[in-house]
Amino acid sequence: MDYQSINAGPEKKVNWLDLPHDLTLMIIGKLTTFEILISTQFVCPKWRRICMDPLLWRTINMCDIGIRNSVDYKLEKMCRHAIDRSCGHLIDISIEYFGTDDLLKYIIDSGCHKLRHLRLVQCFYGISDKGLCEIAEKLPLLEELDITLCSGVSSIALEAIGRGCPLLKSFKYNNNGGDNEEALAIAQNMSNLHHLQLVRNYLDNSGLSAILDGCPHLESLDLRLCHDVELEGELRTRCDEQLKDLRDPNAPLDDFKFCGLCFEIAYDDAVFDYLNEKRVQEREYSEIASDDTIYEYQKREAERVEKENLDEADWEEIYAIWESIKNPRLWYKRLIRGSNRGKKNNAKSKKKKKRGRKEYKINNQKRIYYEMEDAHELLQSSVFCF
Amino acid sequence: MSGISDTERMITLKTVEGTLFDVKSSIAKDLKTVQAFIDDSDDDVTSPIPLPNVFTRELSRILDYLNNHHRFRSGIEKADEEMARYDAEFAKSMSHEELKALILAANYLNVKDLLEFLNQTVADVIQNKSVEFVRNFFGIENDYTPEEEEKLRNENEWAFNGVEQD
Repeated sequence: MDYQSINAGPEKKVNWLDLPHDLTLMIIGKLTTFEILISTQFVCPKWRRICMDPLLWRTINMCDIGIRNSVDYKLEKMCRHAIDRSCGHLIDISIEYFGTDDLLKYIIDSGCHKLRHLRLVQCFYGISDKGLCEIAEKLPLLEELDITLCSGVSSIALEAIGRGCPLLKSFKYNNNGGDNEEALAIAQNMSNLHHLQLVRNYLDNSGLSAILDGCPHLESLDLRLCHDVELEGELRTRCDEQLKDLRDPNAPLDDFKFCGLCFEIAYDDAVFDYLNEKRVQEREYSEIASDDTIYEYQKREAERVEKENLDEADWEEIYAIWESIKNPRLWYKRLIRGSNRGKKNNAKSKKKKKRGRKEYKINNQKRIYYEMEDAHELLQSSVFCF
Repeated sequence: MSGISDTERMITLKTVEGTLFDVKSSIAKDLKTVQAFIDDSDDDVTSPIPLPNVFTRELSRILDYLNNHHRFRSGIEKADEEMARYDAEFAKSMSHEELKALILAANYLNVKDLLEFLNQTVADVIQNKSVEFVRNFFGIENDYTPEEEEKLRNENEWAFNGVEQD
């Protein structure tokens, strides 16, 4: 250890590189996984070596990264890289947004059988029963599991997990659309549970009773937003006796983020807004950044406007229709006789003068159906006011 | 051990410069290195324990921190806020050099809570900052060659290029 630097004056920069390896590891270990992959490992070769240490990757947290970063960065690729670096020592992983069955399989295939804590949040339909069933028996040491806003997960997966993970003590199953089926699956297969969180589920009193029967070690139960449960009378007494910590359906939700009904839509909207924002920005930057003169810029603008417009032939046709609309008699004539191209059909159309539908093709692509009588009425009415 | 109760016993610590500090044994328990020394010695420790790697400035800060935390923990319930405020002031009062020296001292003396706190403080400073900032803060020279850096960036290409991605 270099003690000269301790007595050095304030002008001299302190070099932290000579900090012992395990101390630097402790400091870097307090940064988020995302931060380490994005910037910390690029600081210098020595830090990169520290960032490759499997001890640093026993916990991987890919939650709370934010919607913007989830759009800008290849989060799944980063997560797989992080799993590789753990060299099978992974014990805690949290995934938000990008979880898929393939990713779960990747965790298992990388030899991470010592996993104790798994958290899957807002993966919507990316995670399914099939994926969870496949990994359930390969995670015998799993103690804590959190499945929130993953609508593809149902009682089938819960049964498999209950059977495959006998050490499971804490289970969270929030806002996935679960009901009595899921409650029964928990009751029958997860008998070692100490903590259970079931925010916004549709189980009722029979499901709750089953859970109380099937999980004798249960200490805390969170039933917020489970409005089909009526906690009163005997059931309430039973809960109060058996449990140390009970949150009833109407308890405040201040410490729980994922309450919205249409959380998936909210996520999609946020992503869409952000992408739009970026498109506008990119376009503005590309216009500012170039060295073109004003003439060139105008030329480019004109080309862009042109591309968005219709063909010339379309415009001709539309002008023709517009002219005829202005003159009602012409319009009516047009109705009966059809467009210029449809002159051959005039003989036919005369026969169909009475009420009926007529089909007119314009430009071979657009069809306009007219009810003759109705069109006449329309013209007489105030709809076409010039 | 002797008949004197633990809380009354005072341990004497001697720093590199020779300064002596009298410490209650309840506080000394948090200095795990010192505690191990006490546990290992057969007789009661009466003479000052030498700490050849610890300077006066660091030891006084550490003892200050531990004394305050003991006071907060044994006091009334509202101490959490006060403790947080004290911690924030404590962290702010040090320069980089002092922070580094304190981390090294806390590591040597194995003061777990303080070490966690100091590491978290440093991590909070560099969280969400650019690579350049981190290098500047830690006084680290970028000794990557341009080729190495290019290779590294390519291997760790996490960002999407452009806007139109599926």
